[in-house]
Amino acid sequence: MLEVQQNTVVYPPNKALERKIELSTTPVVYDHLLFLDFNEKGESILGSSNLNGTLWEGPVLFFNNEENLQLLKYNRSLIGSTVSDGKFINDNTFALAEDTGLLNILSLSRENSKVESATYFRESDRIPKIAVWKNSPQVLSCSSKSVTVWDLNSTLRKPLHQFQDYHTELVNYVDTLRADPNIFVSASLDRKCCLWDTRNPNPASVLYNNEFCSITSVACNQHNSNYVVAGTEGGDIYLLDKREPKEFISVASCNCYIYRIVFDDSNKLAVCGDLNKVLVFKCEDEILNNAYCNDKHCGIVRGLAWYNETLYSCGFDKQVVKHLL
Amino acid sequence: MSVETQYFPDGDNEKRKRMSTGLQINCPHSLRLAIQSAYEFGYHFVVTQITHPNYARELLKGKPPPSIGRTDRILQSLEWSRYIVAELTPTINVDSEIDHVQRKSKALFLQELGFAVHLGVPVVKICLTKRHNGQLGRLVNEKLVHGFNSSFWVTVPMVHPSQYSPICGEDEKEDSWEWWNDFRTYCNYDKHVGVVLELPEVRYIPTKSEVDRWIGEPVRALIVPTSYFIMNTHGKPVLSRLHQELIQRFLSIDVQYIIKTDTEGDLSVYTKYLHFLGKKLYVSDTNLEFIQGCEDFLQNPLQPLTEHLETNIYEVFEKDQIKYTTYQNAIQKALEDVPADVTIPTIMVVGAGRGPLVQAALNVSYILHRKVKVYAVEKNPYAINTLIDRVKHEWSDQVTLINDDMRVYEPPEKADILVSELLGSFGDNELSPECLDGAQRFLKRNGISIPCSYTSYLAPLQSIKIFNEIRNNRPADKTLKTCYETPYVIHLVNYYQIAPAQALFKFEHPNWSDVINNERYKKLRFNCTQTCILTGFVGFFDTVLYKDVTLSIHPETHTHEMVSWFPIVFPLMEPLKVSGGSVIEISFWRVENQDKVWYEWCLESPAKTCIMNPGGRSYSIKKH
Repeated sequence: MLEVQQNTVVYPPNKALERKIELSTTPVVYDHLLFLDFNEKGESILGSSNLNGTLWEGPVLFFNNEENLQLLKYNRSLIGSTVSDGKFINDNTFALAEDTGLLNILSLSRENSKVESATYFRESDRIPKIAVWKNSPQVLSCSSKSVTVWDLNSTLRKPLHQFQDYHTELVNYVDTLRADPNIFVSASLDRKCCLWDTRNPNPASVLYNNEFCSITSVACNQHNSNYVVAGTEGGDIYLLDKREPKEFISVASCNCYIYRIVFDDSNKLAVCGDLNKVLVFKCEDEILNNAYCNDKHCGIVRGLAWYNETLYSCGFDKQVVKHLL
Repeated sequence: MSVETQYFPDGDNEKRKRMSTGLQINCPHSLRLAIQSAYEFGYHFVVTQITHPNYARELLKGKPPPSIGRTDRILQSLEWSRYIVAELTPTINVDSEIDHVQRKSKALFLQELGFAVHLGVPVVKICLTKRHNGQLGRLVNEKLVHGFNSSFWVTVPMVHPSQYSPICGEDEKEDSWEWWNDFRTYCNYDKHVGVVLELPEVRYIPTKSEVDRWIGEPVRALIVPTSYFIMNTHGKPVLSRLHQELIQRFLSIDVQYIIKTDTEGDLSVYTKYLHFLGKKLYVSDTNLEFIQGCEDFLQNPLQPLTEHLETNIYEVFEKDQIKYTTYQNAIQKALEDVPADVTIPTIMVVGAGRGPLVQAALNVSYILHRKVKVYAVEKNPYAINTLIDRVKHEWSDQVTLINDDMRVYEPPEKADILVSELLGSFGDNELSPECLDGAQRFLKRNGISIPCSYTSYLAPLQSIKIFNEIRNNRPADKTLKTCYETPYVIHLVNYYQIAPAQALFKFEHPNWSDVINNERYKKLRFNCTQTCILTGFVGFFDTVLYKDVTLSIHPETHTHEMVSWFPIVFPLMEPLKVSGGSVIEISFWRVENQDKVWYEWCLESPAKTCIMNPGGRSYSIKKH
C-alpha cells in the first residue's frame, strides 16, 4: 500500500488523514505470511496479509517454481482482504479463505497470467482454515461453530453439508482424509477433536476431548488413516487412533500455541505454532519421534507445505524457508 | 447513526418501536469504507475487530511488536465513539488453566482493551466461551472500578449449543445464563456490563420461562444471522413467526440488533425488515403512551396524607378512563342496592381531589334517574378551589364541599355510600385502611363502602436494572442502606417475575369490629422453577369496588388498559442466586404506631437476611 505521495508538502501540517482506502493495485508482500501450498506441478501460492497496519489487505502470490517462491518473485497475484488459508484443489484451481468470511475459488488461466475468480461462497464469520480432498470438487471450511462442505459445481452457493453447533465453540481447524471425500476431522475451542463421516446419520464422533485446552489444529495421517494428530493451545501434540477414541496414544510437547500441523504422504508430520521453529515428527510405532527442528525463521511460523519430500514454511518474518530433511 | 442511541417514540403519528441495528463486518480491509457502506445500507453502527484476529504476537518475551492495529487517524474520535463496537479476539483465553497461555492471554487482552479505550469506542464486545471466567471477570471488574467509561457487551448464545449438539453428553450440557450470571456477579452487577444474545435457530427457541429470565437481564443486543431469514411470497427476506414472537418479547427492553450476514448485495433489506418489525410488532395503546419514558424509573410512593397533591399528579390520575368508568359502574350497582325507601341517598366522596368520582356519582344519578345528595370531602385547599368552580359551573349546587380531613370531619348526616380512591400500588400503602376506618363513622350501619375490600400481593423479583437504579441514584443525604430499605413504585420493564404472586394482606370496609387492627404479618413461600437472581419482591393489589366490579394490577387479573398504578418493589440489600427447585420464603409485616405505618420484611429462605426497615427507620407513611 502506497500510503501517501511521499516527499511532498502536506499543508497545513496538522491536516487530518486523507489516505486512499482502496486496495493496492500493485501487490505488496507484507511481513505476515500465513500459508503456502503446492500443486502437483510444483507451482505454489503464498498468502500474505497486513495484520497490524491500517489497510487490512491480503495479497495472494502465485509462483511458477520453488526457486521463485523462496525469492518471493511472484508470477501472478491477487489482492483482496486479509487471508487465513489457501489450498490447491487441482493444478489450475485453488480455494482461498478470507477473514471477511469469503471462500473464494480461483482459477489460474493458462492462456494469460491472471488469477480469476471461478466462484465463491460466503460464511457469516471468519474462515480460519480450509481443506480439500484429492480429485474432488469439494472444499471443507470451518467458521464460527460450524463445519461446512462446499461443492464447487453448485451454482446456488449453498453448502453441500453444513454441520452447525456440533462443536459448541469456535472451530479452529479442519483437515481431510484426502483419498476419501466423506471423511474429515475438526478441532475446536470446545476442547474437542471430531472425526466426521458424512455418510453416517450421526456424522460426527468425538475422537478426543482435552480436559484443559482448546484444540487448535488437527491432521489426518494420509498414509495410515487410523491415525490423527491434534495440537492444542497449550503446545501439546497428541497422536490419536480412531480405533481407540477418547484416549491419546502418544504425546509430544512444544510449549506454544500449535497453529498448523501437516502430514506428508508418509509418516512425517510438520508442526508450527507461536514459535520461530519448524518441527518434524515421525509417526512410527504409535509414537511421535522428533525428527527435525529448524529455527531459521526469525518470527513465528504460520504456513507449512510439503512438496514431494521437501517441506516449506513461511511466517511473520516475510520469509519462505526450504527444509531438507 | 450511533451505537448508544436512545429510544423515544417518534414525533410523527406513526406508532412504532425504533429499532437500532448494527452490522457485523469481519476484518474489512478499510474501516472507513465499512462504516460508509453500513451507513448507506441503513445501519446505525458496526461491530468489528480493532486488532486483527490473526495477528499473533508475544508481548511478554523478547521485544514485543510496537504495532497494534489500524491508525486511530483513520476515523475521527466522534466516529470511533459513535459507530464502533469493538470485538476483542475471541480466542484470547485469560482463563486458561495452563500458566503460559494464561499469562500471554492476559497481556493480549489488556493490550486490546487498552487500545479500545484509546480509540474511545463506546462498547467493547467480549465472548464467553467456557463455564469458568473468573480471570476475565477480575480483569473487567478491575477496569470498571477504575472508572471505565465504555460498556462491555458480553456475548453468549441464548441457548447453549451443548443443549442440543449431537456430540454432547448429558453431563456436558451448559446453561449460558449461568455463564453470564457468574460473570456479571464477578463484576458486581455493574451497569456497564450488558449481555448480547445470539438468537437461536427456530427449532431451539427456549421455553417461555427461559425467555422471561433473559427479559430480566440487561440485554443490550440480539445477534440475528441472515441465514434465519426466509423468503416470503414477494421474494423479500422475513423472519419466521417464531422468531418474530421472540423479538417481540425483547421489544419492551430496548435491545439493539446485530445483523450477521452470510450474503452480499443489498444488506439494507435486513435493517429495513427490522424497522418494519418495530412497526408491526409494536402494541399501540393510547394509554400506554403517556407512561412511556418512565420505564424502570424509581418513584417514591405518594404521601397523600401529609402532602397535598399537585396539579400534574391529579391530571395524570384523571387520564385513566378505565379506572373511573369502573368506579362509576360500582357506584351504579351500589346505588341500585340502596333501598327504595331512602328518598335521596347520600353519597360521600372522601378524598375527592378535583372531582372525577363526584362526576361519576352524578352520572349514576342521571343514568338511574334517582336524585342523590353528594358530599365531597377534600383536605387539599387547592383542590377545593377547583371543586368550587365545578360546583358552580358544572354541578348546579348538587354537591356539598367539605374542606376537612375525613378522619376528623363531623358530617350533618350519615351516608349510604362512601366512595374513596385512596389505594396505592400495594393497596393499603397510602393508608386507605386508617383513613376509611376513620371515615366510616359517617357511613350508615348498612351503608356501602366503595371499595369494599382490597388485597396486596407479593412475588419474588429478578431485576438487576432496578438493583442498579437504586444503587446508582442514592441521594446525597441518604445511605445506601436507606435506599435499599425503601419501596419504590416502578413501571417495571427489564425484570423477571420468578414465581406467581401470592396474596399477602386483605382489608375490608366498613370494618365494624370493636377493636380495629390494621397491623399484619404473613410468611409467603414461592417455588423457584429455574435458577435465577433474586433482587427483591414486587407488590401488586386488587380491589373489589362493589360486588363483581373490581380493579386489579395483579399480572394475572390486570384490568385492561388501566395505567393508574405501577407495581411497587421492595428491594433486598444484595442480589441472591436462587437455584431452580428451591423455595423462596419471605416474612412481611405491616406495623404502625401513633404517627406512622411502615413495612418490614426479611428473607427466610433460601438464606436468612436481617429484618429490613426496622421501626420504619428508612421508609414509613406518616399519619399526620
